[in-house]
Amino acid sequence: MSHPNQLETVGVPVAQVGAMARVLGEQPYPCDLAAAGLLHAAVLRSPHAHARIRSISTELAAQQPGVAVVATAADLDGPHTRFGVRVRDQPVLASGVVRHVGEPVAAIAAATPQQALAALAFIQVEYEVLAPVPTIAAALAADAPALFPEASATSLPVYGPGAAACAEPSPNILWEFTLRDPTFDAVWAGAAQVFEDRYSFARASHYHLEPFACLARWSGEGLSIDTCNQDPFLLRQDLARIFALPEHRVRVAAHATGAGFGAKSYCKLEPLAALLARLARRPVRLVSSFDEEMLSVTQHGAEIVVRTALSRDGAPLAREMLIDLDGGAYADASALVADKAGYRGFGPYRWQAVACRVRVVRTTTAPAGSYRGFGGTQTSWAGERQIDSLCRRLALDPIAWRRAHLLRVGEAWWPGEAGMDSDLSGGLAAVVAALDPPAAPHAARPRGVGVAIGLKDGGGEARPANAAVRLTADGTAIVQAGVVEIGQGATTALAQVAAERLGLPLDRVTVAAVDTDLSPHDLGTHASSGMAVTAAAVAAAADDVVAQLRALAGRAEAVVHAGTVEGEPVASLLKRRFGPYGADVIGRATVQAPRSEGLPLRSQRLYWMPSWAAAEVEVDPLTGQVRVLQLVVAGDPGTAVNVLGCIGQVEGAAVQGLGQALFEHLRVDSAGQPLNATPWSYRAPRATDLPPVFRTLILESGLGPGPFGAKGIGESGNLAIPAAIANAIEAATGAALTSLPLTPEAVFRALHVDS
Amino acid sequence: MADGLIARSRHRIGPFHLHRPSSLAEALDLLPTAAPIAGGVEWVEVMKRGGTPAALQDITKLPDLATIRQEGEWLRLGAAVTHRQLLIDPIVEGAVGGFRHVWREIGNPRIRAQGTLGGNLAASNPVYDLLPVLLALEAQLEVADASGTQCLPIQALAQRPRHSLILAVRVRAGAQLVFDRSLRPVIGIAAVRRESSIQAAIVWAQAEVRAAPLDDPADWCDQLPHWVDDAHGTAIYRAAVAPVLAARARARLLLPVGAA
Amino acid sequence: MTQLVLNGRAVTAPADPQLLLGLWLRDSQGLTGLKLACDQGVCGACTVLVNDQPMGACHLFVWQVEGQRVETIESLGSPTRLHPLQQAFHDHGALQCGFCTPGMILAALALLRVNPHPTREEVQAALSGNLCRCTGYRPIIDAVLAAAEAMAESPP
Repeated sequence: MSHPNQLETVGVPVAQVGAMARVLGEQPYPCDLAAAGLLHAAVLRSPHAHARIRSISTELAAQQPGVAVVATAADLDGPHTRFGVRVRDQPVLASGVVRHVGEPVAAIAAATPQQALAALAFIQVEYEVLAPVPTIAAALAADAPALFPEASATSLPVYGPGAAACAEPSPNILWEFTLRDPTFDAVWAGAAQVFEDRYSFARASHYHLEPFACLARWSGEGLSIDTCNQDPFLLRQDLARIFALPEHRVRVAAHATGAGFGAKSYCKLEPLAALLARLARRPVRLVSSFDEEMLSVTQHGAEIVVRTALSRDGAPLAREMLIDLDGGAYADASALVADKAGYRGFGPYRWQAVACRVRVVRTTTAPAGSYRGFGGTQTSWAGERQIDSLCRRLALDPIAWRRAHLLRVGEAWWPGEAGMDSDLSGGLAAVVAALDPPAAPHAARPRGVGVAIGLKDGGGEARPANAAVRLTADGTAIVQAGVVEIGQGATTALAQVAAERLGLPLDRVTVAAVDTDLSPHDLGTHASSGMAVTAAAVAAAADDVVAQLRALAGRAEAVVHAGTVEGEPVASLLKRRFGPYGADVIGRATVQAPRSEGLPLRSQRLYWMPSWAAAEVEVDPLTGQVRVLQLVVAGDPGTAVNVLGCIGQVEGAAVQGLGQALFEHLRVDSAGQPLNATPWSYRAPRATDLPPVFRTLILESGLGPGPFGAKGIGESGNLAIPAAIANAIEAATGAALTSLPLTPEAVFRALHVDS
Repeated sequence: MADGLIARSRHRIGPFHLHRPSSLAEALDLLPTAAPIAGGVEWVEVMKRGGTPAALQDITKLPDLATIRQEGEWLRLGAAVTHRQLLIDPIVEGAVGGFRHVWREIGNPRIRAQGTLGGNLAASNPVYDLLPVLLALEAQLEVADASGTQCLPIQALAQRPRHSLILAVRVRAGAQLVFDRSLRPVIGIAAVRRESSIQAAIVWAQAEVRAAPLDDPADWCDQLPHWVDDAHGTAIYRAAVAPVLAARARARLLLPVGAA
Repeated sequence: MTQLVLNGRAVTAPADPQLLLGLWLRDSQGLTGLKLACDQGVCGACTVLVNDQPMGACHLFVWQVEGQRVETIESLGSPTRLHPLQQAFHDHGALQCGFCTPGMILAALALLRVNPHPTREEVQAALSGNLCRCTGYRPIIDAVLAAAEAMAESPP
């Protein structure tokens, strides 16, 4: 590092590492994996939203051609076979009761996928159909059937002052999180005006193109699984518990995957593949279909009541959020989403006191889990809609109100919590300024501009990460870290960070595949932590390599740069010290953000991830149709390690947000049957859906906790879009929309029926 | 026996026998046991849901099935003509003004290159766009069965003789088409002008697809079957916007040629 | 047996009527660049070119391409000599997870063969049947326009 102040690789826009393989069609994905003696799995799923399984008979299926094994819940013994984050309620195969359409009931491994699927038809299942619970309202009704009459295995985290949570407070509530500033009631009592509004958030499908895929095999007492999962080390723990193995006998190889947006986090289909492979004593590949993917995990739908107290002059005093998340049938990551939705869901304003109650409500629909934004999408929709709506009622300009009351850099709404680390007001001004001047208004088609600022935090809670950097005998480097490449560009950014610290050009650094037997431990691709946490470990590991090289050269201040140590090529130094074959120099590091016991979640937010959006829309009042004429979105990566990657993350998320705003909605009917859980019937954004003006701004605050001032940015771009578009519709027409998506019919109703 | 949900999958396509008739007579002989396949878009989807038939017959090599011809004032569109052929053949646009503008947005480029007219009609999928367009065009259906070949009005599609083969669709030239798909998949309207008369049909919205004369949008709505509620929209909304779309389609058709 | 020309070479495929082109290309020919994702003709990850037309290998039987020219992503470029479209996708950040990329590139290639100088709207329309959940499309459209320029200057 001879040029510590002059960055050579970080900050330079580069093509994604791995782009070459992908444009050539040579990138392998988990669905492409093969193995000698491979069996193929197929899954029989529940046709009912809610039913008791009276009996399952598998004898006929087992006799079908090619069938190696048929598995049911009875094949998985052991005391801890259910999974889920904090609440372990999800069985590998349905046991006793099915709770959503598409729930795995039995599975077959056979010589070919055709044989496995054909044999499914010979499994006989007798169901006693039970009353469906398709919505939050149905689940909370006094006479609702109890979905989980018996308690699940739970683990409650320790909370600091102000926060509390309860697992399974009632049979249909999975989790309840509360946060209350001790001064809340007093501040609320001093309000000059209070507003209470209710908002609905429609659940989207992740709609990742590569379906779930994994390949499990047992050898001796050990389990090895190749998968598309973004949390290999967490998955290792789940598999070890489910199959009663010590962790060192479970190996998880996590491959670069065909996207996930949260769907590929935590434990998914892997235990089922492992179960089949254990029964068959053969490798088993389980590749779900796209339809199955859509029935397996979704975003959280939500009903949100926002209560806001303002002073006489309209300044923010207090906000309370009452959030009901539709958790679907099983826990997945819902408990964690609930805590995060509640804790950071108030919006980026100077509240004197905040409070929330978040409930995860169980319904007989597909389990909801991690989805880009992780609770922040739902709360940003409700909170930012209400800001415009109350400004309208007070005849205030929503942009001016925001600029007056946004958190300034360093300010927080909870004493001791991390201060804002982005220029919120500057970002708002930037997105508004980036709009083209609105065209002259059209009498028959009103137009309007709306803005919104979404907010979540990133980096997790006192999250640890490890990394290693291996310098090979020829002076090139291999980065080892536990972040899985799911398209977010982590590989590229980690390579850039290591290259910068090692003084190497980027093409002399690669990032190793993730394998729990080999890779340094990491909690996984979560909470936009790759740049803020894992990259810090990579930077420190690279620094460790540099320190070792200096020690080998015998000079503590030796200049290490461009593959040389004080002018001597690294290869030559390593041969001189270790003999004719040289040796790898392995640098290691562990990082962990500190605990702050006095805070509700016992750690400061590592960084804030705001999302600014400005939209101009045109509304057809006779049909309710909305055209988004302009969309500007901005994100703050702290320091853009690779600005091309940052733009890609913000822009891609923005288009997901556009879909969420205008048409994406995974629906079920009153019986809990999915109405559009197929790729054809579910509408996802297409190239022709882009607004005519669509701009992305990267606003570097330089204030991130990661190396070189970097933050994560992957979950920001979608947060503000639905509210910005709805706010623009309100500005154009006065229609106060409170539900997503903003379909023509919804807008029409708001214009002609509701008002 | 299947007591459960078995997901749609490419691996559920089972073996079937494929006939390749080269004459109409041969094809008609096969019809009772082997349904026709042309592009195959529909059949592949059916098979992925577990519905592989015992036998099919590839009708794309039958004479005149994959061709577009002008026959006097009539345009004859073979049943195995693809959407893409319809799009690029100048005869079609010449006979039905505006057709190319409409049809370039149907499905996607891959589906347009593979899917055929006959397959689309035989699928009888109420959300497909072709039937309402043909209804508004007052097209004819050329079908053949053991007793011979006949032309039926397009609205008789569902009543065509059992074991008959759709050979072609016939459209009288000299029409101007407008198809408003902007509210897809809630409602769409296909409207056709011939000289001074306008016919329009609705898609994705009604219990039954039917065309009716569009002189006055309110009267036109009254002549149509009842509106439906489905996952995409309610009957109330459809009833409210149908006359709006109809009036707009009518206005576009009444613009001087070239102004639209 | 079905005869066809696959990536410039005459090949023979089994005559089984139920054999899907996508499965045959991936499982028997080792051409795993094409991806089978939605299996419903919606996403375009399985796009191949048949006589220069983009077609969906997930809903096309092998016998339907008898005597025709089939091209997959593997026929385009090599690491040392990328096709201009591949180069442009690489350079413009036109991919993230990469699962849609081979199909997207082939759909773009089909467009540029018939329309070497497309407008932005024409590119959008030509790619409207290929879904990308990662990028938001803008860089893909830019890449195709850049490739068109590059190909006009020096044809591949």
